[in-house]
Amino acid sequence: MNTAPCPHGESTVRAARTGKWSDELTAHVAKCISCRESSRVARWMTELAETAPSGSAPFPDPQLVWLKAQIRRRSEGPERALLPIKIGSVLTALGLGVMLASLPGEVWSSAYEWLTSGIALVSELPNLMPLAPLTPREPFT
Amino acid sequence: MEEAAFRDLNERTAPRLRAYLHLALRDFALADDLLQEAFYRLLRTELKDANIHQVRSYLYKTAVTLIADHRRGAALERRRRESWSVAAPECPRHDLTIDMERLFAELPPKQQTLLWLAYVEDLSHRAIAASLGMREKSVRVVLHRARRRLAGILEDHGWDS
Repeated sequence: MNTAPCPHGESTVRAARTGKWSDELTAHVAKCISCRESSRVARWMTELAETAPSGSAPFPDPQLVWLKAQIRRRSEGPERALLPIKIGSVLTALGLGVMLASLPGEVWSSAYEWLTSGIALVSELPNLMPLAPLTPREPFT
Repeated sequence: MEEAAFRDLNERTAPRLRAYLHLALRDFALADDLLQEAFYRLLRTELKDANIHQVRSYLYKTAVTLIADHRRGAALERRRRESWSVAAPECPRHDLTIDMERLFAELPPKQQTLLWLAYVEDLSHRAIAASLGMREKSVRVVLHRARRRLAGILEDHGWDS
């Protein structure tokens, strides 16, 4: 597809929008298909923009838009202030996860052994307790 | 941004943006909602030292995103309604008998937006590319295609050059 712009393309569009045509440009557009298209489209688009219906509703008052934006900004303030803390928490959790995942296998197996021995010790605790109630020693004489 | 500056900016940019939103959505109330949302976002963004072209470009970029979000939401809602086999209530109809609107609607949404930005807002290819998240070269190609298509539509319907 030939999309190379005609050197007169820009001035044609400008002339089409403003209605100010020079004789030279008018003669060129009569010969150049691309510029004729540009001219037609530019004029039509300008007309479309000018006649575009705006509906029955009045135009939104810029002051109201401004005020609403201020209110919204204030309500978003605390949320924004907490955002770095939230991001920090997520990053810390991720970092911790990555750190734990990158530990070598030996560390995991020794940690597992340590945990199982700890559990076994806890389960042995009742056996270590004396069966007979403790009797008070005789007082020193 | 100060209120007076905002008011001035609004007066300079809002009428055409509103017309574009209406042509794209064909719903005045929705167009006004999205227009206000675009300006809220502009105020929240606080573009530093931006000129009017950059502001206009930002507003259209936001408007295009909002329209896309709305269409996505509307499509989801339509699917949800269909899956529940409940007849969707008829959308309020507006006066769409205006020839120009009808002809413009024959173009795909992307081509409509490109033509609007190029011929109504007079944005450069670069600014259009920034507004629509496209490459400048693609803008040239799609714009060329859109112009040819609209010119063809106009010719078919007897709009003289």
